[in-house]
Amino acid sequence: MRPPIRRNRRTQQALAGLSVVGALGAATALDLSTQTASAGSDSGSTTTRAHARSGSSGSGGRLARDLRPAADSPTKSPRQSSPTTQQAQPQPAPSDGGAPQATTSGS
Amino acid sequence: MSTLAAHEWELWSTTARLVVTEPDALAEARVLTDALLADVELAASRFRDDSEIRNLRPGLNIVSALLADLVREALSAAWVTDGAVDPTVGGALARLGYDRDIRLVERNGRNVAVIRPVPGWRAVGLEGSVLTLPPEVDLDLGSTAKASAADRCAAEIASRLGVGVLVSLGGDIATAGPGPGADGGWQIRVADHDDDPDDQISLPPGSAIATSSTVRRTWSRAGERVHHVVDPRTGGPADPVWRSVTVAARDCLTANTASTAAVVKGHAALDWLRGQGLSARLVDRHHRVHLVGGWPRETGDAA
Repeated sequence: MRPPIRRNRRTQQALAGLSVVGALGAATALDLSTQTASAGSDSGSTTTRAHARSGSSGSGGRLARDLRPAADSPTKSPRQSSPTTQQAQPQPAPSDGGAPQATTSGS
Repeated sequence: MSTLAAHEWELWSTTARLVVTEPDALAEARVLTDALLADVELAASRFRDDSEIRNLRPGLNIVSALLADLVREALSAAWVTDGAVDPTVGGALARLGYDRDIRLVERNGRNVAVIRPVPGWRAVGLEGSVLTLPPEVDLDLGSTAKASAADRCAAEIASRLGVGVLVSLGGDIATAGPGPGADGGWQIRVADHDDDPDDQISLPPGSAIATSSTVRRTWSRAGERVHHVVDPRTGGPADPVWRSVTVAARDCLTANTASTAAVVKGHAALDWLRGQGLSARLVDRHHRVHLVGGWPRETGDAA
């Protein structure tokens, strides 16, 4: 059974492009967003933020509005005794729902 | 239940791993990955003399669409983390000795001459393809570009080849398309250091996970151990309140941004992550595990 999902629902209202001159005189293109925490969110507060403008290529502004939680939280997996297999060459790996397919660590 | 195929290879002094849900698609997926990663490296590597980022100059720079995107993402990361993840840490990292591939960093270097706050992301201007830099600002996109590259590879492979895919770049993991296994989730081991408790979770398809660490990528300066996560407020390594922080999110850029910010924010990280609605697992300096949001709990974990 999956744990309760925490979602940070925020109403995003892009207002207008705004140029703000940085501390050293460099113009930084910013947008201004009003973020209102909706019922059920953590703070219930309203904040106004400026953020770097999203580019036309589509991916540049993925963080522009907010950090994006996953739609679903991770769930617990059965413990495995062996670490991830090192594979130098392509080879099929069984998908038994238990053996890890990758390892996350700091790098 | 699908059969998986995987490639693993050395990349950027770490390990890259590519897993697809259709073995026949693996070779082409690798080609797509290599091409995209080569582009990212040429745009954003601090360690290549011929990269775009190494050849930026103070004042106006016309940059490629890719570098503009990567800088834009880095500035956005700075914005949403209140400056905890800041792309102007390049000079600070160099002063700490991390001015070359981590394998070549002097393991026992001299003391750091000057530690000072970084110039700050607000000093950087970006309008379209015009990147404006003040003097003495060296960009480092390490906290965001690798994660973004994982996202881009996964999205490209799933879109072009129509398969489920997992792309791991040094533990920054992005997935796209359908997942494997009975529950559809990707099985991910969370294991930063041999001395720390590990974990294994099922990551929903289409989501991502990343870990930031203060106990990996370390070296010594004048007998003091330093790590590569810089606190922009000081210009020195972040206080190692956390040995590692792992965050699950909708995309790897978000996950890595949040995990890096959490390391920098130290004790404030737990509340900050909760406020962002993220699922996270933090290991403190005493090797205790702290869970945030929807991260699945395990008997014996500390709250």
